Amino acid sequence: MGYRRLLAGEILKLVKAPVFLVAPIVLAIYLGLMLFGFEMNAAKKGVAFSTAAPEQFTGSIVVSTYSSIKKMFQNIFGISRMSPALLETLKAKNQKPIEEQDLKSGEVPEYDYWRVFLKNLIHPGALPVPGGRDCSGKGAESHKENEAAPQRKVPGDGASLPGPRMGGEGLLSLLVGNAYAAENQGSGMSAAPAFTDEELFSDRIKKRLQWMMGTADLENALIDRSVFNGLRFTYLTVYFAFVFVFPLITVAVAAQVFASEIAHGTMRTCLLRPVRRVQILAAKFGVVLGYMFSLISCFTLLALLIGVLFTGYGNLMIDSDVIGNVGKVKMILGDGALILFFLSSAVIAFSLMPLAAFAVLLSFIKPEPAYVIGISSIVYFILYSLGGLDLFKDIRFLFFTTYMDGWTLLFETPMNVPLFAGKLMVVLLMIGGLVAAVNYLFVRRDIYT
Amino acid sequence: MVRESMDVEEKAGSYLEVRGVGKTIGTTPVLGGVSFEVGRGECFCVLGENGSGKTTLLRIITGLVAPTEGMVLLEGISPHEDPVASLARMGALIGIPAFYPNISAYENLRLFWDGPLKAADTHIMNALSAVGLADEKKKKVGVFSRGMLQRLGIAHACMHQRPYIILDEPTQGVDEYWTAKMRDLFRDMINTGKAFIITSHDFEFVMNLCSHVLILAEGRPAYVGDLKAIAEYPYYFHLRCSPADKAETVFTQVDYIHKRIRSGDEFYLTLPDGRASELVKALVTAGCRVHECAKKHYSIADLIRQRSE
Repeated sequence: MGYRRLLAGEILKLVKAPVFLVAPIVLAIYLGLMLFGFEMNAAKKGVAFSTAAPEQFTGSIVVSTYSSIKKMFQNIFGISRMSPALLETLKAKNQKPIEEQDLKSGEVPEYDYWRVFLKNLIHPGALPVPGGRDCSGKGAESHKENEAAPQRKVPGDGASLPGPRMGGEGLLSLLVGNAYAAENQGSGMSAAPAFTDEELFSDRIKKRLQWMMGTADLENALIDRSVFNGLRFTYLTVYFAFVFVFPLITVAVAAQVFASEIAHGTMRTCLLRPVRRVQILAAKFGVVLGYMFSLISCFTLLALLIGVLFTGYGNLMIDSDVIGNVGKVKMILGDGALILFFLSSAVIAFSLMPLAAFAVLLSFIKPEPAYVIGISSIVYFILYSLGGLDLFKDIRFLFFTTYMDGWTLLFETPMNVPLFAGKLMVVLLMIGGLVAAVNYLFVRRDIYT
Repeated sequence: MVRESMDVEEKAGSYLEVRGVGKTIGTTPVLGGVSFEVGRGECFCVLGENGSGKTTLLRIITGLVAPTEGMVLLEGISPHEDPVASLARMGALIGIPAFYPNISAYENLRLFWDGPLKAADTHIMNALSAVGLADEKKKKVGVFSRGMLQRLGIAHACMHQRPYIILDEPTQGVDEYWTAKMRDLFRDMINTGKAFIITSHDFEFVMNLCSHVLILAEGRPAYVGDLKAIAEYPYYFHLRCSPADKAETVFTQVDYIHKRIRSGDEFYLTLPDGRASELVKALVTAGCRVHECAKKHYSIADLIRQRSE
């Protein structure tokens, strides 16, 4: 009997198993929580990252949810301000400086970088304010970089503005600060949360910002929606899913495929077929890997879809510190990020296989799904947490979790190929070792249940 | 040995040989010194009390469990050295039938079908029909009763029409009607040259089907051989008559009673089936009143106990 038929059988079994539906539901809930998490985060700061109209920024989650849905439908039906045509207009407008006299006119052109500016306010800690307090927590470093950049005079208050070499949130926040300071005739703002809605969305500040951006000769990276867009949302969502959700699902699927089958006696029925046990093992591992890859790919695609619908499309900007969202901008990717997301799905699924093999190993020690899921998850989270502590930096190479995050290297520019290949190689070796151990136990094991 | 009369040519291939098989788990021996042979067209039953090692023996034969001593050869192939070749020759039901509860009966069998895909539907439907589950083929196995599950397990074991069928208590949970149907099915299969190895607690089922028996007592073979040799009188007569002393005198005067046990005015007698009416007539003639006369079958446990003693 062919391996393909075995694999098809395993797929059918998994499709009919509860975990097949439960896993996507868990991921959907997680995605929803991420979405609302960002919304709440934004709401606390007086903005909603996916809201189109300033007058809806009430800080209410309900309102922001409503406006998110509204915005989503606007995007679906092509009436978004993030439409390609508008983006082209934005680009064109940016290249054409706004004249100072425009500031006195009553019309406020709705450029999309205004929207970018609002996004940026989600992370006000990134403000390296000249003459004011640095909220980034990386003050010295930020100031050093700012000071190193060519300084230019900004009309209004004379505050300095870093040159175009900087990009991303820090610079945009700086622009906001300068715009605020210029309009209020001050020497610079103290902190972003000090803004009131009224101040933030006053036409004067809006116009000042537009003027500043229009005359700053900024790089495209700044104005082409790179601050917080669908790609960034997807990256963060996948990152946290990789840490918290994918491992749980992996051990649940592995437990379903092995421990559950042993516990319910169906493994015995499988072993009465004229196939080698190693073939059964390979088919089961194959289905775990295939399922995880499919699940992660679909999840990434869904996150991209939702992210782009809610927050627009653009470059993927990744901070050096993913969680903090502050500091030096490490990389900015263009459309190539899409293919990287697909590749990362495969790498993540592959990197999770040592965990699956570990769960399978436990399945032979005690074939109870709850036990396998519990112990595997606890071991994973302990090792993952300890691996992040400096105290264990000398021995973290022993933790299998250390080598599982190789996928993040895909997003680095330039990519650290030796490190990436090295991590994958270690993962491969771990999988090989664990599968060999599982195979040894499985082939020799007496089946009584 | 069961097949002492087997000719040389037949011995070269078509039979299952169990040679000095034993199993020790940890330091506890659960099976030891088991040897027998079963040829095509034979039905071999393994009897024993709970925990005597019957299912362990079947697990060893099917390769699920490795023996710690001895060997099993199925037509010259060891299930432990070449499981693919040996399992391709046997269909088996070991322990409680285990299927996927979220999948229909048909899909479950289809999942375990190992033959040509073109023939799958015919074989599976034939097997389901034979065990009376053709109408239930679309039902999920999770809603099956214990008896239906057992019948599905039998269908699974028989659907490939493999030459050796290993069944662990096949009538467990099955009602009388379907037990009789199973017996007929197995008999037909035996007549077409299939070999059956069965464990059962249903004495009548075994008596009507099997030709040879292995009785296990605490993991050791208490008897291996012709089933009829140990069950020439697989039944006894229960008589209640008075006066009991006069009845006992009558029993001593006739020469066809093989065994007699008295308990008050009740007697347990072993005698040929056709002599019972003659005995009752003799009792009445001698002035005894016969209150009850019933024929009862020995249970498998009785037989095992007899052989063990």
